[in-house]
Amino acid sequence: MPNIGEFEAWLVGLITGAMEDSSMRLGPVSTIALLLVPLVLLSLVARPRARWAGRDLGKLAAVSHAMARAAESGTTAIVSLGSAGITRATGALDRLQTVAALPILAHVARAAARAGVPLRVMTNDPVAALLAEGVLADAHRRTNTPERAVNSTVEFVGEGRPLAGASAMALPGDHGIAVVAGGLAEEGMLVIGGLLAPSSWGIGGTAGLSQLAGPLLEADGVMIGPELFQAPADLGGSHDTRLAVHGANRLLWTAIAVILVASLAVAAGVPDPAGFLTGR
Amino acid sequence: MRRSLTAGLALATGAILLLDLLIINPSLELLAGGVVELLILLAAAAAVGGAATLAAHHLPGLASGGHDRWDAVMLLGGMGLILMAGLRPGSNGSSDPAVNWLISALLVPIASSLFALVFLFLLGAVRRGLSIGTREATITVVAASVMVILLLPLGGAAGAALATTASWVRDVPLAAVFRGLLIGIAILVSVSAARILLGVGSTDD
Amino acid sequence: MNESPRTDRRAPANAALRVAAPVLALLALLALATLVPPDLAGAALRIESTDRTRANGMDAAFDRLSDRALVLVAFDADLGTYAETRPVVRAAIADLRARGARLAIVSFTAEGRALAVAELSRLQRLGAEDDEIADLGFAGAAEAGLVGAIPNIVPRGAEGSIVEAIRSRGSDLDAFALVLVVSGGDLSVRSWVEQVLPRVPDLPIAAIAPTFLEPELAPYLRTGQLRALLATVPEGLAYVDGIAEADHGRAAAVGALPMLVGLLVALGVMAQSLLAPLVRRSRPDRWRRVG
Repeated sequence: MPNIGEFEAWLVGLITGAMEDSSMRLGPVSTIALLLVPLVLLSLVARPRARWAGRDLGKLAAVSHAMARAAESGTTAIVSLGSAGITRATGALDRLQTVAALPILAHVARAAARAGVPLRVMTNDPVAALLAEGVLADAHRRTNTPERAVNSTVEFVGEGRPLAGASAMALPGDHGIAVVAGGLAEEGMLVIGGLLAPSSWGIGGTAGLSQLAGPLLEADGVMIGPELFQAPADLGGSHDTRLAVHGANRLLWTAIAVILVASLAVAAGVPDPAGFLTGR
Repeated sequence: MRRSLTAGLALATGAILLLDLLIINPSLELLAGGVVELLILLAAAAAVGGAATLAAHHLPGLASGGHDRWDAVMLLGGMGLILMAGLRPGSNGSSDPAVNWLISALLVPIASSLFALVFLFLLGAVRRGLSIGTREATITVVAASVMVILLLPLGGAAGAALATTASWVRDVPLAAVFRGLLIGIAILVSVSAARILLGVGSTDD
Repeated sequence: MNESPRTDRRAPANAALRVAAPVLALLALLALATLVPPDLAGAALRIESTDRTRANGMDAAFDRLSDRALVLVAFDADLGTYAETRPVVRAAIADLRARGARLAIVSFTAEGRALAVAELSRLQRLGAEDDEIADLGFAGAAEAGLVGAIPNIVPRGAEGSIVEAIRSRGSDLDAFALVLVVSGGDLSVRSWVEQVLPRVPDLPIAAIAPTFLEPELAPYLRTGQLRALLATVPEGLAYVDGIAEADHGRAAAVGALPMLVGLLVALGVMAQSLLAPLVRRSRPDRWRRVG
């Protein structure tokens, strides 16, 4: 007959044994800072109270109007998901920009489907291409325009950032609307120059810090830095995305408070608050 | 929160890797090592799948006439050349001298020359951006002009003064703006990643 | 009124030439500036920094290496920014070889691997032996590949005296006395600090990076997480100056005159573009009222 007491003792022994074999890799402060993010998010799941005030980042609200103009003039729309991809050998910060660009693609795809504007999506990652195909199919389903799905295409241009730049430069430049959203690197100006420059209206968004000049110079709607992750929350109906921005706002205020307090501490002569915070 | 297989997998693998970063434990290290091996295999599978998709997409173009045929010839020809060099009998695979030659004599110079156009595209973007006349473009170009002056490679006392000022601009205001952006991006990214890991909210918008 | 076919064909060609003329003139000017001997400008032009702090830091990091030390060169440069760091990277590799270090080269990005292959080919042409440099190949999957390489960085089937030396020390990153990261934007030194240092805290890391990574990486140098960092052209060339002899003068110099020409052209274009709105020129083909 199983003995509950013995089982409990075994379980406690297993847990304490695991704890004895374990130690913190980073210092306690760094560990708490890393765990702070999911904790803040979970707290918001329970009680999100802040009022949402949209700012129309990237002029996403004007996409429908632009699509109507494109339909009148008989031109097409092109969306580039950047060149970081999702499974490519790039940094995580870059790849998450591609994920952040998918809701933007969904918004543009729905507007294109409603207006009947042919939409072409370009990416240099096969998994991003698969996800984009799903987004386009969903857009036509939601707008009840399955007969227009044949006009929406996704193109995998091949692996590599140079290919993304070359593909953009090789376009004939007869598209009316261009959207470049996602991770960009040194080929960013080639992608932006090939897509946004010949277009009649365009949106440019990237969190790649070395490429912020491109969207600022060429795009009508701009999302730079954190705005690429915040903008989808303005698109409406996406409660979890707004939740993420609320959570991020709380962490941003926390970061600002930490910087101010630590700066005052340094000014007051406290030695190395940064070392304490980073566990060094 | 709606649970699904995908969200569950993301939660499980993300939690294991996060815990492995935070805690030193032999069993956890073993488990995380297995997950990392799986991730590497998945990335390799995605790369192979992508190459196969590309080839499959362009093969019909070979049969059809017109402009698409030459695009397909160039692309499939290039892929075939590298594959033959690496997979032929007696080859050393990816470190074979033939593959190395193709990369160092063709791929690197061609791709590098492509990036040499970035300077020209940037100048064109400056002209187009200022012709639109947005405030952001004007501020960007004014700031860039100031930095270009500071970075002029002049010698003597004037050059030293410019270099000192450039270093100060890089170390103080530029670093402050970059770090502010980095902190903001890092927080947004980590919250987005945590949202995916925790499966917060609907996955079907 | 009918024009002759030859006039018809020439008109678009002339229009294209008019558009391309400024670009062609700029390219010709840059090419001429490249051909001018660097010594011609004398002391009037100077790129390398007079502040040798970071160059000395790299020297100090290399000075700590014992004879025949194993050094891992993580080659993850970008094709677009490698032109900026190439002289520094070549000088650093030459410096390490001159000090007797045994180098192992690995890449975690596709572009880095392509550039590593090109550099290895160059080194072989210059006479590098197999017992001086080992090729550890390419490990994909970005950060996952980097973390996976921590316990075992030697690919199956790799051979050679350096590979055997790495295997004899456990095949992990602890086998190396120093890691020199040739950084690009895809998988920068930050990934090494974030993923590798928490797991291998005593591993010395030095880095060569393009200028746009400088604000991101400078704090790591101050905290000691990086032993050395060369992240701008002036400080990189200050380092190259100091060890030019180690590469028998082969490290390609960055010309000050072409750089000056390029910067002046950029300045001129920006100034002209800033002043142009004074004559109220705009692009009528943009949809100004949308959004």
